[in-house]
Amino acid sequence: MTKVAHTQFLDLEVDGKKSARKLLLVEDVESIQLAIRDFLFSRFDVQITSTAEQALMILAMSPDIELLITDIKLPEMNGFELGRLARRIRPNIHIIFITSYDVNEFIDVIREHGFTQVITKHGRMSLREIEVTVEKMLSGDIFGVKKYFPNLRELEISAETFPRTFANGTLYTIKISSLKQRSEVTDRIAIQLKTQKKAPEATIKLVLDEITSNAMFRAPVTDNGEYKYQTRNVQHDILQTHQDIVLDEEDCYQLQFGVFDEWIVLNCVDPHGRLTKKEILFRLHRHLTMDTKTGLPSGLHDSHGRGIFLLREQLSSLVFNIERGRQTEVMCLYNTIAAQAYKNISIYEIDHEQAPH
Amino acid sequence: MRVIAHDLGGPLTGMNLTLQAIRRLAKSSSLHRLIDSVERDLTSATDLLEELKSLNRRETYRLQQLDVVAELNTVLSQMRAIPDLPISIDVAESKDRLTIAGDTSRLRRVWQNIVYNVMDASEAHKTTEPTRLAVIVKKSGRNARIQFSDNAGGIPTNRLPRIFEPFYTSKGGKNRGLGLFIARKIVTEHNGSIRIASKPPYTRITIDLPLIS
Repeated sequence: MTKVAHTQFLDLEVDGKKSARKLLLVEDVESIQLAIRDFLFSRFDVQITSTAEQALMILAMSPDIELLITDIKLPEMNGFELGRLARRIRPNIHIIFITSYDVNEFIDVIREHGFTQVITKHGRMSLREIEVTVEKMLSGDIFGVKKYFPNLRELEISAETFPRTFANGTLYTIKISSLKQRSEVTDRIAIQLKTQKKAPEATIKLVLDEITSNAMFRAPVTDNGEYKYQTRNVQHDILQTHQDIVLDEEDCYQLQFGVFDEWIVLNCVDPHGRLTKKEILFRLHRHLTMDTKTGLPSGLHDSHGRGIFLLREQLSSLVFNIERGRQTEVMCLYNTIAAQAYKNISIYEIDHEQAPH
Repeated sequence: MRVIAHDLGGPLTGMNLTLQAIRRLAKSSSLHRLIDSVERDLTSATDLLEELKSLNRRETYRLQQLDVVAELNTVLSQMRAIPDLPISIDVAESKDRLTIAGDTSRLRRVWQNIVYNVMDASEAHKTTEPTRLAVIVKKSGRNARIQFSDNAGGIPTNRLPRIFEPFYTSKGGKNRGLGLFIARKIVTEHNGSIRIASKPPYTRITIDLPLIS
């Protein structure tokens, strides 16, 4: 817990410290507005307002505001519209949306504008989540489970040193270099989590299969842009994975796993950085929107790409950290106690070739 | 229900977030203890709300072909593995293959809720007689019929009509009274039916789920 000097507490109404980076928080529920501001107060200079109109004025007048946190439902103008207009004033501004509604119902507009952070306000919501999101967006330092669990210990293991039980608070890292090894490791993790945390084995296995499939089949490509470990079957428009894959050294990836009190963390890190924000939002959109003719999800018959949607449905939190061309990290957080009805969207993408938007 | 859940969610979230901010700012340990105690109450209220919200989400049903017998056996064997289980569970299964279109995780909630109810009733009833739960799975016309019979005390006749109502509980304060309400909601959404009959100390719950031909 951050120590806050008593004097600072009394100075709450005074504009924050000079060195602190500036955020603007737009939220019309007073209790939530104050709670977020006071929580972030010791780290950031948080300006507050409850209307979109005022927010735009503040943005126009304060060029040093780097990040906007806004509720989606505001009087007069909604948060997405505010986000769109804020980008006109400040093209590089970072935006975090917060909402107590089901994010899925807004997937159209989120995809259209390429918004990457939507945090659901729910009973068990932690303000740390907002804080971590702000930190990651402002610093560009996006990788690692440690940002979410600062006290974790890290331990590298191999098949020979695979732990019999998972020590609470330890994040294990194992390097995956073949298809056979992948299935052995993911089986062991799922079985152990079932025994140790009563986690549904099928769910954990599905999550592990999806995140490792992305790292193993979709990420590695040849110089000609062809998949290295799967082949497109043109007749059926499906991708067939190769048998008995042994990965080239540069394609090996890391699987991380651990338990942290009621949380299970599964994290897959590949050295390619091929996944994109655009692709993720496209896939979610395909599966969250209905085909008006059939009433079924638009993406129901897509030959591939259900993985992201399925993952998100199963997990409490799904975070994508991408540095294009260098690294992709798909982080899965599963809460063993409480279900979370509405899911977040959390995508961090660093693309050195392009401007942020 | 959606609207109520949302309207309750707002203030609860406000309280929870405020509490987190207070926790960060508060320095005295006695204050932290008070925060802990408020937080516990708040957590139980918000968990209930999240549960209601999950139930009311649209488009979340994932129907697949399920073998009812295999499904039930999976769940019941998991429950038998609970340490110090206060009841014994027996299954009599049909020889027919009973395939339905169902959402696995939701149907599991139904079976679990019913078994938990029996466990709670058994603890409340406290007889010397061991509590038994007999589960019968069979084909009944175009339905798969699953019958849960127990001897855990039974339900007085005047209470039976209200047993599927939300927040109705005969189990006292700690219980939310949502178990059978949720069970009925899920069964109905599978185009099935659920009935309850009781003659103390026996209770029988009968669930019919349409078979896929």
